[in-house]
Amino acid sequence: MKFSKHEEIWLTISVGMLVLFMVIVGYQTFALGMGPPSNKETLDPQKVDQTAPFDNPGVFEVGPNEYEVVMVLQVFSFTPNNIEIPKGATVHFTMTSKDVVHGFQVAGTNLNAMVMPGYIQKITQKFDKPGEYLVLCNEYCGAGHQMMSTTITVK
Amino acid sequence: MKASKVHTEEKLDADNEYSVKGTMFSVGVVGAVILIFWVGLFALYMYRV
Amino acid sequence: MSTATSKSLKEKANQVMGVNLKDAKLAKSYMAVAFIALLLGGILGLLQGFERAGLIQLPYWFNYYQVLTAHGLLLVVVLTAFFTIGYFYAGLSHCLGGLLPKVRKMAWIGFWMKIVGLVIAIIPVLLNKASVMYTFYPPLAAAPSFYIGLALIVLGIWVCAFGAFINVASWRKVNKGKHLPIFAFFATAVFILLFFGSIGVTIEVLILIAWSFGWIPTVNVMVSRTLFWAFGHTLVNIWYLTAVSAWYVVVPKIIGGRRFSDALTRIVIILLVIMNIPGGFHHQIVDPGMSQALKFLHVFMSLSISFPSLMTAFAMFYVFERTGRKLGGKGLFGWLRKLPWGDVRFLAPMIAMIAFIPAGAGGIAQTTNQLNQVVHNTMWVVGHFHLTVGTSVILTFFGISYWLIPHISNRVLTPRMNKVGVIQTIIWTIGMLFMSGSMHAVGLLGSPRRTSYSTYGDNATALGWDPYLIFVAVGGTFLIIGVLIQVFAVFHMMFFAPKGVTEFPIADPEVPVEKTPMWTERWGLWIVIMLVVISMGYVIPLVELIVNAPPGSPPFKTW
Ligand code: HEM
Ligand SMILES: [Cu+2]
Ligand SMILES: [Cu+2]
Repeated sequence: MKFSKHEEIWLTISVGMLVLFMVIVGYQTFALGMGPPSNKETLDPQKVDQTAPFDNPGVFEVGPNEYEVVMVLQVFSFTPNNIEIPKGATVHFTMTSKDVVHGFQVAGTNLNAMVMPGYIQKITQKFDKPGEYLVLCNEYCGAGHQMMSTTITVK
Repeated sequence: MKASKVHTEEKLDADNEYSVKGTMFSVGVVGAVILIFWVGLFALYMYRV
Repeated sequence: MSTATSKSLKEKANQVMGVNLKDAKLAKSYMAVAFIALLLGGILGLLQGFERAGLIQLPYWFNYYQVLTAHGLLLVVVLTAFFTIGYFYAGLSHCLGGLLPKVRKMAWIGFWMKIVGLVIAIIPVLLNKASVMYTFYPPLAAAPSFYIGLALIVLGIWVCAFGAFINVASWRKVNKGKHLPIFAFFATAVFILLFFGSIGVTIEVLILIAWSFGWIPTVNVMVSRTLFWAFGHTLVNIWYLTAVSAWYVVVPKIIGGRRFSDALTRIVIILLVIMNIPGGFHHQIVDPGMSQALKFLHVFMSLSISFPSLMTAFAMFYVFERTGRKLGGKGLFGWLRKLPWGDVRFLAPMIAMIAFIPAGAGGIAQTTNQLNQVVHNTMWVVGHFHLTVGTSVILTFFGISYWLIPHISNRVLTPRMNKVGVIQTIIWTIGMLFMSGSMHAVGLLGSPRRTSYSTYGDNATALGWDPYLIFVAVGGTFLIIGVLIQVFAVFHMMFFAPKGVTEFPIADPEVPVEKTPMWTERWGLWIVIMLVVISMGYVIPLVELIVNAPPGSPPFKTW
């Protein structure tokens, strides 16, 4: 029971490739802070309106051309909606759901995160190109799921 | 003369039967497809950062 | 001497009796249900394709999400479970010398439990009381009967798994010191995964039953989701392992070759069993509640599962090249031309294997941590699993049907039916190229999965997806033709094809035969290692999710 020499070559090269993939994304995750959205804070999903910061959702300037969007997702809408931000802004999204599981996705960006009731999810994106971005829910959440959308306008 | 010819033919046949260059080429294609998919997705990710 | 007589005796017995008729009836019943599920699920798929292309709009009394829930259930639960169990039971009967009477009875009990469970689960879907998709993520709450039906289906599967264990154990008792026949080895692995992989989801479903009845007010949504994917991902690999069993064991026989190293084949199987279940986390890469370090550990676990598949890639090409060269193929590609492309029993699984190249490559790419953000929950993923399960697995199943159905029906595959099969395979391939190709592309542009046709208020980005979505409908049209031909072929071969004996093709091992180490038979050990790996993957996150849990969620019906 042995690998043939040729099989060994193939397995070495292909495994080497997988290791390389892991090294690249691992470096980005742990050295550059580019890992996937993984926030662990929680809250009572039935008391979202009374819990800070979600008692006051909106767009807040937190630094030079840096914003925090405190956002509540519920069937079938985003609060706040039709967001406007200046070009080049870095935007931190802080989100939770008032009811079922929703998805937060902005087409043409890397913004893609599950938003679960009971959890505060966080994700950040820099908007360099001006234009209107489509924000949509990408997890089935009920009869109006296909209508759950809004926009981010970058000027 | 004749014997040696038979001999080489046999050897050729054995070589042919046990050659794995087709296999190595094919798994090479598999590796290339993996690389293309990964690099493609990675490029899109970096473009959108 | 003694092996020679026993072999010829067995051959004679096979010639006289063909297949054990009682076992054949069982297998036929499983196959019939599987392909009826394909027919119904395929029709629903077509409706979805047309809706997503904006060509039709499904009415409120039979809406997109109802249809999608049924499509998922019929195709990834009913079709695959019934096919897998029917196929492996037919194979166990063939290579272990018939099923034990009590095992056959268990398989029938399991059959009816699954059917009853299915009916109980599908009724609320039809009544629009369970439009929760086959993943049923809480706090979406279906009618209790939906979960009860699912629990019955799982229990039915367990009965079949234990039946298989009993039959294998009894064979091993009589044949001490011998290797389990390779096909039975595959079957054992699949039933082990079916049982251990579904324990978590069964706990989840039992909790959801109590929750949907209102006996408990709230449920932990993250724990439910995690338990679901421990199962969902394992299920994917069960289908895959089923398809792979035909690639390693059956296809070499059909092309007139020998199978790959017995020892390495068994090691691939053992690796798939051991490493599988924690792969479920790659469905949760963008979830909250889990740290990036934990997710990275699971990137490693997911990528490890591709190792046995990389071994399989080599093994398959090696067998093809060796066989092709023996048949006189020369040069770099001559061996390819010597393969029996006109034989559907080869063509279908071969295209299935080729489809697995981009399917597996896509899987590797999308599982590497933040790259998942590019595609998660977009149509790309739908394209991905129509390649993996909808092509690699299903086309292999189709290829199997062209010898298995005649085998269990005591009939033969006629040249004409073979031609039908070849045409069917080509149609399916074209359909999936269109459908899966456009799904992958439109997903990269942002089009979400599980979403009925929407322009999001004539948003320019969303309107840009329309040209791609048309091709989903085009592909779906090809596919439904493929479904109709396939279902026709199955029932024709079952009831109308000419009588005769069809063999169950199991290839001989490679020569020179090398001895397979006996430790490969230590299933107890493999299960222990599997449980250790599962614990490494799951104990920390599950404990964290439970200990740090937020207050739970009440049920919601949002449709
Ligand atoms: C006639 C052939 C088929 C067509 C036209 C078709 C089409 C579709 C479409 C349009 C979707 C929905 C996309 C979305 O909105 O998310 C879908 C989902 C799906 N299909 Fe198919 N499909 C076919 C065959 C299959 C087969 C053979 C399988 C597996 C064995 C399969 C498994 C699935 C699964 C698991 C889903 C996802 C359901 C969910 O998101 O809950 N399909 N299919
Ligand atoms: Cu939604
Ligand atoms: Cu998976």
